[in-house]
Amino acid sequence: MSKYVLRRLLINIPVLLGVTLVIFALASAMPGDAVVAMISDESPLAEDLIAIRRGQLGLDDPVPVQYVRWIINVLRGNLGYSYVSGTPISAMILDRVPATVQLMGTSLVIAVILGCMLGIVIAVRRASWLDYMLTVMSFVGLSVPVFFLGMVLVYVFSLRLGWLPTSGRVTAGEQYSFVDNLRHLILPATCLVLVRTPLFMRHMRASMLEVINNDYTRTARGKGLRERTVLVRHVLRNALIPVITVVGVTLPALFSGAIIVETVFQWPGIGLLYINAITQRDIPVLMSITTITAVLVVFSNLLTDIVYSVVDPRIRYS
Amino acid sequence: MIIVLLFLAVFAPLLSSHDPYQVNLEIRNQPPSAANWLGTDGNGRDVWTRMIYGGRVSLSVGIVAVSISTVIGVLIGSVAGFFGGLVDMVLMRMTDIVMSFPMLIVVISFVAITGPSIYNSMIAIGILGWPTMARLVRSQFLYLRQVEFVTAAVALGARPPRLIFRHILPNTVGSIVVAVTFAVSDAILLEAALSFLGLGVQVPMPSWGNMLRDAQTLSILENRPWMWIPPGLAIMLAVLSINFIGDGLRDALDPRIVL
Repeated sequence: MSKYVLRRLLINIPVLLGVTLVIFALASAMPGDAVVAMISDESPLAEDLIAIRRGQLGLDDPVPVQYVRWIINVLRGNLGYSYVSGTPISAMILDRVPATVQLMGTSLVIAVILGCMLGIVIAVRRASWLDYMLTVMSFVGLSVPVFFLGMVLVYVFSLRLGWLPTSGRVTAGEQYSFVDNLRHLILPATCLVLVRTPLFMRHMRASMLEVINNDYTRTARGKGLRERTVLVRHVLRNALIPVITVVGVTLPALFSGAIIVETVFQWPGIGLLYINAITQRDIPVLMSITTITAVLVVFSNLLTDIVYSVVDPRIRYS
Repeated sequence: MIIVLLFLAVFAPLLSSHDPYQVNLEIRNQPPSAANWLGTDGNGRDVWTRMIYGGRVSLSVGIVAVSISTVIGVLIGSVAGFFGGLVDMVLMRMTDIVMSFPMLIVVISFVAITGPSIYNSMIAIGILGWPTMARLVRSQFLYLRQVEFVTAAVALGARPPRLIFRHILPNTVGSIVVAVTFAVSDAILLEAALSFLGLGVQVPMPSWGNMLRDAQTLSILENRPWMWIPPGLAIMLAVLSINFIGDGLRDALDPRIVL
């Protein structure tokens, strides 16, 4: 087992290097660089001064050299500085992590639990009116654009009914209070839950139906076990395995955040930071977030595989 | 439903006497009326007209992007599935990598670097959307590769290209069509998201996504719902109806899947 994990880790190193290479190559192809970004409009500098500063920052070196230097810095935990504000990027990101984890964590947990439960229910009561209704609803849920849903929620619950705040994480200028924070959380979290639940529900349902038709389920029933025992111990435990993958795929989003939802609700998470970095052409921030996302993608894939082998003893790695 | 939307998009010029780009500051922010069926936006442009023209843009981005991703996906999938072995392994690892990244982040980075425009969104969505198709085609190929009529064709001396294009590929068309339908609805959603973030289709060219973007301020959201509800509903209906078509096609073309 540990040998397998180690090997997978080693395989992923070239993958990650490849990804960072692509990110770096694309980023250096972008117009504008650190020096140009640092010059304010009020004090235009002479061309030769710009050139000197470029040399000091090593921007005259060939791209491969710059890449190696960047990667070494990243490994040391130094992500560089924002072009726009000049603050260290690692601080900027750490600052945003709690907001994103709060929003994504809440909505992901609710969506997974709700989606799996609904999926189990409609798989057991297949072809009932509940099944049809939820299936149609899940179609709608998968078809509605998140931002439109968010706007409708804001329109109804904030603007028309006035129950909840429209945006942000806390009321500006007020003393922080947990209740206030929760009130801000409700709408964006609901938005994400509504969009994600159908996904988990459909996977859960399909996976349940697959297992229900298996021979061992028939055997368990044939042994005279209670239907409840069959469903929980034999069907559910096997049906959950494929769903783990679906959950695993969504894990990196815990970090990268739901870009669109964070934009609609101005939720100060990583997603919003990313979008702002793009509109301001803040390339180092962009690169850092993309790189961290890449690392997380690789690790969550690895984690998914490990969990897989723990819950499913049939899978053996040699 | 989708036929209605397509009809509206194709015959947009005939269905509206307004010009989608015509700014008329005298009739800004008008609620729906007989002259402007869905009212006007902040620049006095007719919302109905912009919506059906926006439909043209959104649907064409979806279709072009999916055409690109289908061609790439089918090619990679057939080569991987047909030749197997090392070729398969390398191609599938590539597919896994592309697939495992959050699509939106990659597309956004691509567009941010190449510059936002309608063509770049088409290309970005197109060249990143192929993995699903590639996997599907590959799995079909793995199965069809060992079916009797293919073995017979091999015995008759058919070469790989002929085997791929004449014997195996035609048998995968059913599944491909189903996957294409779902891909189109995904692409429309993605384009809408990009345009909403201001990274897709650029104003003044209308698209459903950027019409919603224009309505993001609270005053418009609260007092002028005619500006943002129609395009939002349009996206939803387009995606929903395409998904239903895909579902129906799957039932019709693929009897093996039990849902």
